[in-house]
Amino acid sequence: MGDKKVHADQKYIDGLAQNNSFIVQTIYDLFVPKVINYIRQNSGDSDRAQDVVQEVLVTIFNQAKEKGLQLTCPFDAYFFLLCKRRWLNELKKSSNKEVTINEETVSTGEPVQEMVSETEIFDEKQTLFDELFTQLGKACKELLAKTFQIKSMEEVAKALGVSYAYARKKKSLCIGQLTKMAQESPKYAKIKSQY
Amino acid sequence: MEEQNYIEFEAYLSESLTPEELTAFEQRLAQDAELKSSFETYKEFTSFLENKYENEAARNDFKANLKHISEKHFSKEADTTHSETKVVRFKAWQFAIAASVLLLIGVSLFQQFSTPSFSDYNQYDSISLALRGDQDELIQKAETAFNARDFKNAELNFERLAENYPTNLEYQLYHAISLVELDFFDEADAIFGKIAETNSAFKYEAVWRHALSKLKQEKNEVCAALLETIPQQDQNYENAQKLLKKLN
Repeated sequence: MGDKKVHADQKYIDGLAQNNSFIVQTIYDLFVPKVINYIRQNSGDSDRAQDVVQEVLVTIFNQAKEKGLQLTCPFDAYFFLLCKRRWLNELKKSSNKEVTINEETVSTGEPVQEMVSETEIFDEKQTLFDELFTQLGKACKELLAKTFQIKSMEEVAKALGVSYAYARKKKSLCIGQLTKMAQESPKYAKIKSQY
Repeated sequence: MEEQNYIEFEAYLSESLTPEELTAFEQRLAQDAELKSSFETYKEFTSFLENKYENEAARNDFKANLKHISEKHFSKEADTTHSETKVVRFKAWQFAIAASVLLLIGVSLFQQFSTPSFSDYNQYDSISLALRGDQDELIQKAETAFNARDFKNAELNFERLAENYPTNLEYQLYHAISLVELDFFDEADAIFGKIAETNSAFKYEAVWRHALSKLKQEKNEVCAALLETIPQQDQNYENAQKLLKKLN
C-alpha cells in the first residue's frame, strides 16, 4: 500500500488518532446518519447503530496508532462499508440463517475494498491477540505489562526485583509463548492467508 | 531450541546483537522459512503489545470522548424523530395552551432578567454513564445519586471513580459539578481548570460549569471572562451568550 497516493480524507484518520473532538464531531455529522439509516432498514435500531459506529471508530483509531493507517480512498465509502460489513456479520452471528449480502448493489471501487479488508484483517488480528494474551500465565502478563509501560528494561528489572538479564530473558520467552500460541491457532492461519 | 530463537529475536529487535551475530541471524532467517514465519509473528506480537500499553491512556481518552459525542448525537437524533411524530397530532386548542405556557415562561424569564443566579442553571439532564458490560457498581451508585440530586453521595462516588479511572474526564467533570453543589468551590474550580486545558469533548463543558461555579460564588467578573472563551461552535455558546448579557 505504501506507494499509493494518500487521499485528502486522511485528515479524518489523523483527527481520530489525535482524538480531535472537532473531527470526531464532523464524522458524526457527515457520515454517521447514513450508517444509522442502513442499520435501521436492516433489522437494527439506533442503539445497535451507536455500538457499531463506536467499534469501527475505535478500530480505525487503533490501526492509525499502531500501523500509521494511510487512507487511499474517500473516508465516506471506507467508513460506510466497514460499518455495513460489521453489522451484517453481527446479524449473521445472532441469527442462524445466512444473511445474503448483495454487494453488487453498492458500487465500491477496488481501493475501498482493499482498505476495508486491510482494516478488517487488522481488527481480527487484534481480537485474536487480545484473546491469546488473556490466556497467558499471570507472571508473564505482569512482566509484559511492566515491560511495555516502563520501557527501560533496567527499570523493569528493578521494579520486579530481578536481574536485568533475567527480565530480558523472561520477556522474550513470554512473547515466545504468545508466538507459539498464535502459530498453533487455526484462526491465525486463516488471518495470515488473507494477507 | 525454540527458547533460544525467542531470545535471539528479542536481541535482534532491541539491537543488541554483535555485528557477527547479526549477519548470522539474518542468514538463518533467509534460509529457514519456519524461523522467518515465527520471527514475523514475534514481531507482530511485540508491535501489538507496544500499542496496547503505550497508547492505553490515549485510547481510554478517545473512547470517553467518542461516547460523549456519540450520545449527544444519538439523543439529538431521537429528539427529532420524536418531535416529528408529535407535530402531526397537534390540535388548535393545544396550541392555545402551549402559547399561554410560553407566555408564562416569558414573563418569569423577564422577571429574572436582571439578576441571573446559579439556581437558574443547575437543572441537570439525567446522566447515564455505565457502558454495556460495565461491571463497576460505583458507576451505578454515582449515577443514581447524581440523578436524585443527592450530591453528597454523588461527590463521594465520583471522587473514587476519578481516582480509579484517572484518564476519564467525564468522572472528573461530574465530581466537580457535585463539589459546586456542595459549595467546595476551590476544589471544583481546580478540576474544571484542569479539564479545560485538555483537548477533549469536555473542554468547554468544563469552562461553562466553571463559569457557573463563579456565578454561585457571586464572582461575576470572573464568570463573564470564562463565558467569553466559549467558542461559537460549542453547544454551550448560546447559553453562555445569554448569561453574559444578563451579567452586563
